[in-house]
Amino acid sequence: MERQFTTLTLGDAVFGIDILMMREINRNLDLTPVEQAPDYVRGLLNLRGQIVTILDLGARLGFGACTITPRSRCLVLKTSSELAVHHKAGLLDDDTSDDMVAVLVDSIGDMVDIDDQEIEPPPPNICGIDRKYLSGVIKLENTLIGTLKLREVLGASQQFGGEDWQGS
Amino acid sequence: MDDSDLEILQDLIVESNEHLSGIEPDLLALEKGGEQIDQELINRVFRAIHSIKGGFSFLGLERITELSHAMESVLMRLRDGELELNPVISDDLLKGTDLLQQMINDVDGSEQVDISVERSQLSRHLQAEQTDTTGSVGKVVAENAESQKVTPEPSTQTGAPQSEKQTEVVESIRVRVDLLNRLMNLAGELVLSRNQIKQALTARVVDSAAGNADIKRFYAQLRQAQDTLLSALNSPGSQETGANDLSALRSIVTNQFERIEDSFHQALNFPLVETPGLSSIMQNVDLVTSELQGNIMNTRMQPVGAVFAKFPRIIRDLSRKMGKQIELSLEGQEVELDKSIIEALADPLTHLIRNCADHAIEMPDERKAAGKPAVGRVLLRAYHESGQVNIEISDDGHGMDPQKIKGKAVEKGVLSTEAAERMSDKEALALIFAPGFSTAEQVSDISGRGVGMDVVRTNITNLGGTVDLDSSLGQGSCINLRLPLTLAIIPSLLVRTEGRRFAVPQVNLVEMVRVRARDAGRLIQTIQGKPTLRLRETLLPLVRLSDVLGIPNTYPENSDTLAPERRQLLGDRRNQSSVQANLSEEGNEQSVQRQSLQGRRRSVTSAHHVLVLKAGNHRYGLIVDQLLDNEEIVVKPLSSYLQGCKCYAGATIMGDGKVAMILDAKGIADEAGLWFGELEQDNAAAAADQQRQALIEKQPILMFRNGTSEQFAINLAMVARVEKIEASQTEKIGDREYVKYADHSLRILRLQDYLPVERPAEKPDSFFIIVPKLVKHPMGIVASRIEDIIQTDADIDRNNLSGPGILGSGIVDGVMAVFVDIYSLFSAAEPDIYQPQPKSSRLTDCKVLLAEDTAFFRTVEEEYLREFGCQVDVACDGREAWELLQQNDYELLVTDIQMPYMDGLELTRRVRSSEKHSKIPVMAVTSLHSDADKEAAIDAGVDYYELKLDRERLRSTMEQALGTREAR
Repeated sequence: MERQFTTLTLGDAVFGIDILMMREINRNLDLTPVEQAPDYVRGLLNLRGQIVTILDLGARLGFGACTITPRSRCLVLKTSSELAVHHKAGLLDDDTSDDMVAVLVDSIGDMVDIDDQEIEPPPPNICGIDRKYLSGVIKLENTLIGTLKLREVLGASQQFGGEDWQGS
Repeated sequence: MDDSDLEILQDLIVESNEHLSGIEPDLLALEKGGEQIDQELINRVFRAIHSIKGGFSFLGLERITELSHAMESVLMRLRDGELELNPVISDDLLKGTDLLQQMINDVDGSEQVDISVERSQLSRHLQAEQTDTTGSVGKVVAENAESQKVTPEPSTQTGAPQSEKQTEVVESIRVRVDLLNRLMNLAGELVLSRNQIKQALTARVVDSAAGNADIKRFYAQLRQAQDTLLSALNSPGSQETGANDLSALRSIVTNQFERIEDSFHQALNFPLVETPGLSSIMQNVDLVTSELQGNIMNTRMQPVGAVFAKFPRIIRDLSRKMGKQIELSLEGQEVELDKSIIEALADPLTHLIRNCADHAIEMPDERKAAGKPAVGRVLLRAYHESGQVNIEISDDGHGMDPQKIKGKAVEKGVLSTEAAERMSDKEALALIFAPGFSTAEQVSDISGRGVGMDVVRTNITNLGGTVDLDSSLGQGSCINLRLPLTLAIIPSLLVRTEGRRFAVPQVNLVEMVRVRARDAGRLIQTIQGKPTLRLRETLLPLVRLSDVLGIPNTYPENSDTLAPERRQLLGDRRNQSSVQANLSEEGNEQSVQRQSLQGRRRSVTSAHHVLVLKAGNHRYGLIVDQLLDNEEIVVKPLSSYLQGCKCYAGATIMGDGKVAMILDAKGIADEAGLWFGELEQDNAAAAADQQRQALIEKQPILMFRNGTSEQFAINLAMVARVEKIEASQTEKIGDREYVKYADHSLRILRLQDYLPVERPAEKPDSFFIIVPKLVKHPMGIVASRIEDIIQTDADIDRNNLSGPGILGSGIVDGVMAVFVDIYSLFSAAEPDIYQPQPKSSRLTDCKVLLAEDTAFFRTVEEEYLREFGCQVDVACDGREAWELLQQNDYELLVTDIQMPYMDGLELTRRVRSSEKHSKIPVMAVTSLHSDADKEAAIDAGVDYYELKLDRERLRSTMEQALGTREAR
């Protein structure tokens, strides 16, 4: 089965997010910071009347907080309930959050089309991040793209021992 | 079960719930009707149960079918007159209804529910026929088809009543609540977008104006540069270079500058006006948006009867159980509230209703002994009042005894004996809202389960409402809940701290206090390392918002402004900038800019803005940098990532599109680790708050100018009329000016002749005169312009500005105004008529106690009394007055009626019943002028009753009062 990934960078590392989970890419970074929030919550953004929680992907994956530059972007994700259609159709086995969230990244790269079969399981150690955050690895000629397991990346539970994070 | 079945089931559940909610009131009504069975009612109940049975048997849910079948059989026999309705039967039917409701709420688990008890209880009433449950399914399906034709009558609470006449049918459809919520959200967004468009439009106009000014300035500089260049070229020193080169250069410079000039002219003339017609389109959008939002909001509205409907049953069950006779009447079931409020209201109301039945209403013989009818009455009433909904629960039970409540509080050690003595009756009643305080002698299993009135109050407060309690011993109590119509949009105050904006819900806001730099040392004290604000009677713990949230303070002075030495400096700076403000009046553009910059800084550093917030029963002060606007905001919930941040109640989108956090008063208090004082203090404060809210007496102030930049103010209560006068109507006799008015002449005064104020540059052709009342000999005060009439509760500051004719200065709507003292102004102008009182007046050196809570009146009246020659002691409320009375002797007490803590009536009653002061003349000076108020005052023991601000009457009545006293 053919799948499409949006690629993004954090420092030197390249990651991919299945476009089925993407809502849009936003360059408006006029965030309202929220004091006392977990360190990976960068702030809140008004996206046409809906409030989006911006998570710093760098901080979340343990690379350290992203520095905002002209190339920084917010990837706004679909909510879990919007993905139900894809789940039903068996097109997607990952999941996002019930809330409107976006991840802040250093920059956006190309789209990658790839067949399911060519995605390899993640090796024990890639780019120094926890393996649980990855669903697989795409090997291109000169780059390795780690495909993100958003269910884990967005999971809020570990951070402050709240209720169990519910995937579907 | 496949998808289509699921859909049917969903519909069936909704429908059955409607039926069930109708059954209960109908059964109760049947029971009330006694022997005479109302056929229509019984049919309605029958049909309702019948369609529930039909529906569920079709889906094969047997337990529900069995139970409804059993109920149906009993109902059938009742309908046919084979059985007579008695309390046991209706009990069983009601229990059956409850169980049905329970099963339908959890359809999946309904097959596991044990219905044998209910079923056998029901079948007791059917001697002959045994219920046939197993074989009934097929039959029922057939019946069901039939029952669809017999349209189930909708219950009274839901939807439009379907009457026989077709014309009266209001069409309706069922809409899912989440869809309504979504619509509601979208409407909120539309409102925001509209605000943004409005702001963007005004910003554009301002931008273009500012742009114009910039271009002009740049142009002037350019011209100057050209001149300098040309004159340099023409100067003798430059002649050495070739004359030809030079003239070529000169012409280049001239040409180039001319071209630049041309393009500037073009730029300047470019029309930078608003697009034509845009404002009217905007107006339209504005209107439609508001209406749309209103209508969508209405779709969420439900009649409060939905909650009320369950109370007849509760009262019935309780009174049967306790052997009391209680009649519940409902009023205003049609009053509508937001669905979420209706839902949240169910628990507190149930608690209050149970309380009435359990505690308030006495046993029948007890009632008879007290001369009351055996049947106790409870009235539950909903009604609209000033944009809010009131729900009133009143009973004619034994009422509450403030003494007993105080005694209980003392016994429990939450209140000291002295504090109890000082406490007014109203405050004592408010004690029952304190956590863990229950007046029930014994804990009964009905309402004394440790959940008390405090939970009720907390719930109502969370909804943005208030609870008020009134009770008279032996006659009953009345609890009044005031609720907002909706929760989705809330009024809030926007504040700024360290450049961030936050919204504070008005519900949590008690008052705003501006502590001036020079008062900070006196009012803000550190107790055990924690800053505390002395606010009237109480000490208020203070928290700085930036500290709680951990935002670094960017203004270094700010971090330790709580230390007194520092503030002196800040005070100095403030004075400087006001000097600057005067200078800039003369019209230098640059200095205006600098001044406004300074003004902004000043507001950050020279005063503390304290928001007095209430969190449950507690209050504290939150320090912010700046107060912005009041705004209605749409509350958006926070995402799960932010659930750990207890300082916020949500987020909202501002007019400029940015997100602002909504502060949570309780969360901030918890986060700051505020230590709250004892129950006693908190409750006193809470009770006082409620009173204070009702008591803030706003003054209508007439604002005017005298042809200068100075702003003057006169209390409107002292103004008889304002006239427009042509200069030609005036005449001068000696150094006095008169105006012919009707058939007499009126002397007019120009403020600059008597007050130390600026002189207007010219005398205008026409002007206004303000003619005061409550004076012996009226004169007109000249005003160049009448600005406005403003309601304000501004304090008058007498230190800043004083002198004859001036009461002081005050900040009204952000502008400093000079308050004119009419009496001393007039006595300066007409010393013969308004001469100071004779030296030997009876009032000279007379010791008078003045009790008045409103700062404005306190200032004015104290001034009057001093002018009369009295020695005045001033109290800010009744309690303070009472304490002063314990310490000193007075010849006369002058008191306001409406005051917090202890009002004038209670003060007077105490005075009259005390040994020491029973003979002291008491004079009420008040703004209440109805006969009933006067009567109440005289009942309480007041000797004289005068209206506020009438100085001459005040004096003559005081003389009379003291004269009488001598005669005694």
